[in-house]
Amino acid sequence: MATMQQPLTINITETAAEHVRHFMMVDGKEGYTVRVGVKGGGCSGLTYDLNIVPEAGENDKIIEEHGVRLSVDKKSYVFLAGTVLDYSGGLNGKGFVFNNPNAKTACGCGTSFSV
Amino acid sequence: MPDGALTQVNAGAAHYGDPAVEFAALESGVGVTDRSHVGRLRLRGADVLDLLDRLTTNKLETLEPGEGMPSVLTTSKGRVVDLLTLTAADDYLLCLTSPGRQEAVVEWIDFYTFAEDVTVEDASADTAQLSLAGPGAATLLEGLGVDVSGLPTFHSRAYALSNADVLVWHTLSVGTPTYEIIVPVAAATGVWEALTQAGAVPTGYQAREAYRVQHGMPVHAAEFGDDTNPLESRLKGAISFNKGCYIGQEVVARLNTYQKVQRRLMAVTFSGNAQIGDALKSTDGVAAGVVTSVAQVPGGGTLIGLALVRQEHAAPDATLLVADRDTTATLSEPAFALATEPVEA
Repeated sequence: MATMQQPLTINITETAAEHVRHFMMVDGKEGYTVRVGVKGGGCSGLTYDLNIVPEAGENDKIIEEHGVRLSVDKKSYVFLAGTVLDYSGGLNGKGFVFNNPNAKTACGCGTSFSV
Repeated sequence: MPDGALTQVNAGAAHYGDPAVEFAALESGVGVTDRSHVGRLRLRGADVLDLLDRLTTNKLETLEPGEGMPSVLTTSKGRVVDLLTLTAADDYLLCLTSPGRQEAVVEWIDFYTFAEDVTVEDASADTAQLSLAGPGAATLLEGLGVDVSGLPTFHSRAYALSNADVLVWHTLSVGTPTYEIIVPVAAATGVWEALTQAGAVPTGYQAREAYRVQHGMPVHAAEFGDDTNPLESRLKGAISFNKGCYIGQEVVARLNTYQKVQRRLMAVTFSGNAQIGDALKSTDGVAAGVVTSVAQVPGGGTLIGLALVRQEHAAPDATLLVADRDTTATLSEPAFALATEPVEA
């Protein structure tokens, strides 16, 4: 049976959403938007960017999941489509983690990638 | 002409009558060369230094107005896109690229610009670049009301010269002091005349190329490019090893830390003919490197060059053979590298 192909988007896991809501509450930023994006730099060429902002950018793509509003600028979206934003906690945790299927290589410390 | 093409496409004339006189002016007087073929970009916006700090090898983040420095645009594999020379002018960052590389540099910066406040404008066509070099350069400028005393290397300052607003930029001086004068194109002829009437010898690219090769200054497509890393091209002086991440940093840092650089740019003096692209071999026939630049010192002087030489053969005073020619190549350290490479602790 043929299945409908889901359009590529950016997803946030429940764990990551929980941490986002917690940080927003602690900082008094309930209702804010999590703006994710890509920046040039890092050993491999591109790094991830995550900020909690009052409003999304004018032409941002908006995604809502698990009670969190994510926004991404259009150019970054090209490199992030299909990404799942997760949270890695504990002593060895990395904090917010971008599981990006577009990333072909990553640098030694894992904070930058290339496509 | 040497038995080998010049490595650079140049603006201005090949010479203005006597390349030997022009070469002598660069070495012991003052020469002025039209170097308008060099790429000039104006970068504006609040995030310019932050972005270029992430894309290039040197520590640009703290650059103050008037200051400048060289920095290498590298790929994630640590290969060279271009060597940039940068200075913070009044409300923009002026960036010199290699001749003909401005478009590639603009595309590279544009690819890595996401949400940053950065605009790049190609100023190559609306400005000219007159390069004043020689031991008497500062004195000549002072005679024209341009006091460059106290202008450190890589620093720039705005001046009025021959009724034109110009930027005078003390760029790297290997051998003799060099000042790049960036001038609106409409005023270039007036500034050129003011400089030559004050005693600067019009100098064509033949003499300038010989001067470059003699002092071991690497250029794009000859000594560096997408098949070299900045360390083998002796661009260490344009690299910060403690600034943190930039594109290609991991590769460049590893090459440096573990001394994995395979080749080394060396200056060469030839005993006979040689051409760019000639292979070098050791006296017992082992492949040792490749000739990247060749120039004849004007006035029937020595044939000199630059070469990328395998580390095990790259010793000063070593003698190599030019493959398929009856020519020996004697190596020495390039003056440029000696002047710019940081002294190891």
